[in-house]
Amino acid sequence: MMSETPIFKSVRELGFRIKSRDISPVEVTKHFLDRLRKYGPEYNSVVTITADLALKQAKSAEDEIFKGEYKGPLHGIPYGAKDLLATSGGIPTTWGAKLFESQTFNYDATVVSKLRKSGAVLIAKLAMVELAGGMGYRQPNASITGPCKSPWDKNTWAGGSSSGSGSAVGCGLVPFAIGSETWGSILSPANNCGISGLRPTYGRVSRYGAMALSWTLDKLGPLALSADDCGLILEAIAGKDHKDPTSSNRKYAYTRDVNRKNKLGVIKGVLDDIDEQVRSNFVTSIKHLEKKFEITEIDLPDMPYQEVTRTIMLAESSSAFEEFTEKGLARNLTAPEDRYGPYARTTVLAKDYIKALRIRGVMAHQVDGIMSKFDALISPTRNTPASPIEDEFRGSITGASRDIMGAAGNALGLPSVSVPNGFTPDNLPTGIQFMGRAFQENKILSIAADFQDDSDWHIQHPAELLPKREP
Amino acid sequence: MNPEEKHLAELVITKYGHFLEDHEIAHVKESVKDIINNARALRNVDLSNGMEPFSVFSPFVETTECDSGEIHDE
Repeated sequence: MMSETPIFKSVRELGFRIKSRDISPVEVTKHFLDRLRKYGPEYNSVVTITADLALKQAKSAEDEIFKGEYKGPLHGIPYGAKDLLATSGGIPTTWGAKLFESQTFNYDATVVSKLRKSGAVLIAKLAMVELAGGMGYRQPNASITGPCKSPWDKNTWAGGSSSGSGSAVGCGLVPFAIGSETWGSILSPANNCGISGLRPTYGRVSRYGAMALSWTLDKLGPLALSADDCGLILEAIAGKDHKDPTSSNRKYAYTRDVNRKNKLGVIKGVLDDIDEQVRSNFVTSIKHLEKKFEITEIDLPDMPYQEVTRTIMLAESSSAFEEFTEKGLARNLTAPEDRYGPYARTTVLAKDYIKALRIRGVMAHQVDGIMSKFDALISPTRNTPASPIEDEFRGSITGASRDIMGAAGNALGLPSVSVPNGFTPDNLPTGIQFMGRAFQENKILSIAADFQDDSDWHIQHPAELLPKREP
Repeated sequence: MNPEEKHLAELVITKYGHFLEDHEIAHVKESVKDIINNARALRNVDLSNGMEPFSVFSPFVETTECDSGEIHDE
């Protein structure tokens, strides 16, 4: 019999309580199903609730644990998957677009298979921006499910494109979720929803079964209530997969990495033209971090980071969606800018795309040389808190907003974790990101986890979403 | 628009204009200009002949894996 609600409990704590049989996977799953049904439509954060599958998987987990076959910290824990991850069994995979609302696959994405093997329970397919935002959207309503709302204010946007993955975790509808990032799509919802999100190193997690937007930029990663939880989840989904030739054969096990230089870098200019409260919260975070780290302002080599990332994304997405483009199917998308977005990019010249790939190599070596002197580079996760849900926003992919850290991090496939670092006077969360060298997730996760050990931003939740105590 | 932008925009309109409304064509022209601006930034970077694209191509051959884990060519 459960002694306390599982809502807003970390994966680590839930896992411990399931292992010790203080709570049962079926009971936990039923709690989260109730939450998904109650709040999912209100926040536009859910596409499909997979109740039958979830209860079946939860019962299996319960039986296995009862028999002493405990699989690890995710065993029996429900999660949601961004709706660009293929799922078998007739469960739709909509890619966030009305055009694909009936699309099904007869196989599971590798990340879904890996989570099933670790005993996690697939409870929902979560909302996302149509086609992962790759067509140039500028507004929150660019989704089959409507504008996904931040848990902290229903009049503000959850971020994108992994909108539902952020909102559902922040609303306490799932203990964790899987999102994807090509440029900003995990970190943005982590910021806007006041939760933790990890963009792993490119190749750390197999992309097999995920909608392709840009083959050399796409990454899959976790969103959860803490950096520590992100580490537990990454361990379950990381690893070589012969179905994704770009997946790395480096082994990954999550540990708190305390082997540090105690040095953090801040790129010059990252605080230019940003929201005043975002700046203020970041400066406060720096003061806190200075107790343990030497913090240095640095220059990145003068390279066209944003232009390289944008050119690669435009060229690869143009090929990934060639048939879609040639048939004029963009006409069926929701956002007006998505309806013409696919066409201009067909003019990216092969020589320019290849030049971007060549510059990428130079950038990778130069940036790694700089990063080797630090444990991580830090910056505000986003230049602004969540924007009003009716407003157009200034996106980096379209070039309307400056994001050197995001452009470099994504072009070079570097890991970054975002955690909450305060609130604005309007009670909207802000975030700080820690970006590391390739394959050094444990370093950035442990620094972020230390930051969360010393702060309480990540354990604050919207009052209206707190579970009511039963009489 | 400079000649490159103009010609590329005309190419898009020729190929896809029947999918687009007039106001969308204006946006497409702006997008083409942005793409050329991006390309200009890339073209301004000097690279030596030997600097290859940062991507890995691996020739493929079907392999069998024996119990020891060693890979043998067919």
